[in-house]
Amino acid sequence: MNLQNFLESGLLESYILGQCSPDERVIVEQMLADHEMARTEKAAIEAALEQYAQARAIAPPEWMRGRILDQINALPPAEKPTQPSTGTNWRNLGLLALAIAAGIASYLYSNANSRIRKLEAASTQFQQQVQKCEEDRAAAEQAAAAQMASLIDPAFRGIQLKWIDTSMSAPGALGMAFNNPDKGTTYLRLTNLPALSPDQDYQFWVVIKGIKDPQPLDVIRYQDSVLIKTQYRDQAEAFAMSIEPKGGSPNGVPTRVVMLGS
Amino acid sequence: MTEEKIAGLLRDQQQEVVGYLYDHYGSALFGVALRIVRSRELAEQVLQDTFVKVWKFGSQYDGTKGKLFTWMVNILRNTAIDATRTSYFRHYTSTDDVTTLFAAESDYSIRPDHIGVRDLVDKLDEKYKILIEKIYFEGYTQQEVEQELGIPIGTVKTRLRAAIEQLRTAFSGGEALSLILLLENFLQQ
Repeated sequence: MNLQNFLESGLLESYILGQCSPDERVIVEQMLADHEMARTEKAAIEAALEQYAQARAIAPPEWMRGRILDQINALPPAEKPTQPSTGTNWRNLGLLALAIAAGIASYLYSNANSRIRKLEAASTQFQQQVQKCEEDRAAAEQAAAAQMASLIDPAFRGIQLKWIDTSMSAPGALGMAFNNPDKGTTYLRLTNLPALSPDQDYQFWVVIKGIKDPQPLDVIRYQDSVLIKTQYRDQAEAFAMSIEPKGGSPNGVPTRVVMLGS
Repeated sequence: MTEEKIAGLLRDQQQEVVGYLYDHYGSALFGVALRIVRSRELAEQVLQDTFVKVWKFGSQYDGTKGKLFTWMVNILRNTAIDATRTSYFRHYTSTDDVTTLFAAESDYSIRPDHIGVRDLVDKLDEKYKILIEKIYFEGYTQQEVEQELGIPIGTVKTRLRAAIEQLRTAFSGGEALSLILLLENFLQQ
């Protein structure tokens, strides 16, 4: 590809945006290595995109800076790429001489080294998993805090849902629907609901003022005591929970109503 | 601080570099994150994760291959796109109203060094602006743009080039225009 065709192809822009296929990357990197003009062009595109992002910048909350610095401060030092060290060369040479002198020792040494490398790799992987768990936990905590903050809003009305199906034992089963007509949001919190068979789901329903039949809301993936955000409907007078075949009511009406609250 | 110096500090794990990067690029990165995930809570998490990755993988940044911001924004974009695939995102995405989501943008845009640049951005051709917004800000792949906007992939590539070309022209003349806009603002007060 000649330089002009290359520049007009849009490949360079895709490369900068991280959207090239591996084959395209090879072409772009070769053109960049060969042509000063391609490198100049790339720098100009990057500068324009950076200016664009700066022009559309939005300030994060003020506490964010401190939180990021604290988190980084608490991390173990990142692994650095290994550098050849003149200090260990003599030792390596010594080991090599010994290995030549005794073949069996060499075998044991390399075998041990390979085990150490495997253990190190496993340890790094483990550390990454711990870090990931830590990040997931922080995200979940943040989500919970945000939900709590939104529920403190005085416009929220709590509606208790009680278990009404006497054919099924459900000791302590309770639901709370939190409805906020000002913001148009509904949350649901369920506790001690009986576990269902794998081919069944719980489904949430709303009774709307002036409409006789309950209207279907979400199929609920039940998690005990977790706040679930559900669909919101105006003019809600009552809420209900039903047990449905997997995936929710097949015909838009509740199959078996087990909880009710108004 | 030059990018070379920043790269050196990242390699040497000097923590003060993170504060510097945050002060210079945090808001621009947050703007991109918000546009991809469309939830303030999640965008905050994405920004935090991005800086942790920048710190952890700082030794891999190679200044000869590209600008620091390009490297950081690509990390951020991938982090944000990964975040949109989590159940946490699916839960939160409907909670933020788009008008309040970007409310802070207008406050930020009065920063003196950015006066006028927003106006320049707004003057881009719509057909170009939508491409930059989708790909750069919303994390779309070119194939996804092809499907959503019904434009052949070849045209997506050439239009993207034309869009960035227009941006470059706008920014190179931006300084003079910024001054004019600044004067206009001043006279209107």
